[in-house]
Amino acid sequence: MIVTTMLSFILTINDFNIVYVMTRGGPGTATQIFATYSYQVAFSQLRWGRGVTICLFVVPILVLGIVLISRYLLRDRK
Amino acid sequence: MRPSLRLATAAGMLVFLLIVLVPFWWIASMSFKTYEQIQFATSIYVPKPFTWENYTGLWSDTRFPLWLRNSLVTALVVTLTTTVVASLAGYAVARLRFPGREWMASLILVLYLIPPALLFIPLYRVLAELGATNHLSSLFLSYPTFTVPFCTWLLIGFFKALPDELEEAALIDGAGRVSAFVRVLLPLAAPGLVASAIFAFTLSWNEFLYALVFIQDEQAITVPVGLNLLIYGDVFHWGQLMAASVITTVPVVALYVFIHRWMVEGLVAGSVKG
Repeated sequence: MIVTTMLSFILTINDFNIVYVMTRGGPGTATQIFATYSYQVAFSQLRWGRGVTICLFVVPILVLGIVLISRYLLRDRK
Repeated sequence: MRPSLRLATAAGMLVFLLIVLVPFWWIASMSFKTYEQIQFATSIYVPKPFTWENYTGLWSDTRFPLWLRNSLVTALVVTLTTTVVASLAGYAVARLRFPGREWMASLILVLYLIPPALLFIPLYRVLAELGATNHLSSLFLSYPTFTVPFCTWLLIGFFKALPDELEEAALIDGAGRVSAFVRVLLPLAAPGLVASAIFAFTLSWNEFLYALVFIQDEQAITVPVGLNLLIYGDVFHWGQLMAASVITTVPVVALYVFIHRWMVEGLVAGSVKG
């Protein structure tokens, strides 16, 4: 249960495909999310460092999710 | 179970099935409609008149066959490399004793959980330095970054579930490590191998972000990106888009149906002692 929830959480927060294909983050920035924004900054504006920095903002949230999942999955191995 | 409860369960399942299946019906029916039918929303649920023009148009007017070939080549190459690497890695982590083994197993899981959306810019720079962008080889190199950890994870559980005695017996009978692995363990792990191969295939078949970022050349793009290109500005050729979706979905569905039983067996066997 925890695993499923966290997995779908991680997958959703990093989704790119659906948002990019349907709205490209527009109209304006109404549907912009991490992945699409970093893509836009890095590849349309060619500001690579900034694009990577945007990605790094998700890392704390991700680490939380990953720790929770791996704790659960690795529990019985110890 | 009480009859009323059973009825409620059935109704719930039916609703769920509808939610899952209606989009597929929508795609399939739309792919057989003419342009006018789609634009003016006549005969919404069933294509009437029924037409193949979207499929023939897709095949001759666009570069779809080429994209399909690219996707297929990529998926096959990635599946092959993934299966070889992941089975060796899975075997090593499950069976060989070396320092940092448990630690490495956890690391593989963590690596799998790191999403592609974080990695695409650094990977792009690396591949650009290597001169691999704009070519299918960039996908051969980058897709294993997410298929290998997952399949290794799957196969570790699988190899652990096989009894040690089998391998020991082979070793006593004069087989080396390698031939014991190839002749005894691999055949026994076949369901796991099939499961991981299917995962690798599906993941690389559906991948969009890396394919979009690494390849701009219209000769070398894969189907998901190609589908995106079929939208010309504000003009949506829904019929052709849907026909393309049907063509790309069918092989995967067929694969799943065909190997379904092995799949389930592989997943279950891998998960119990994972």
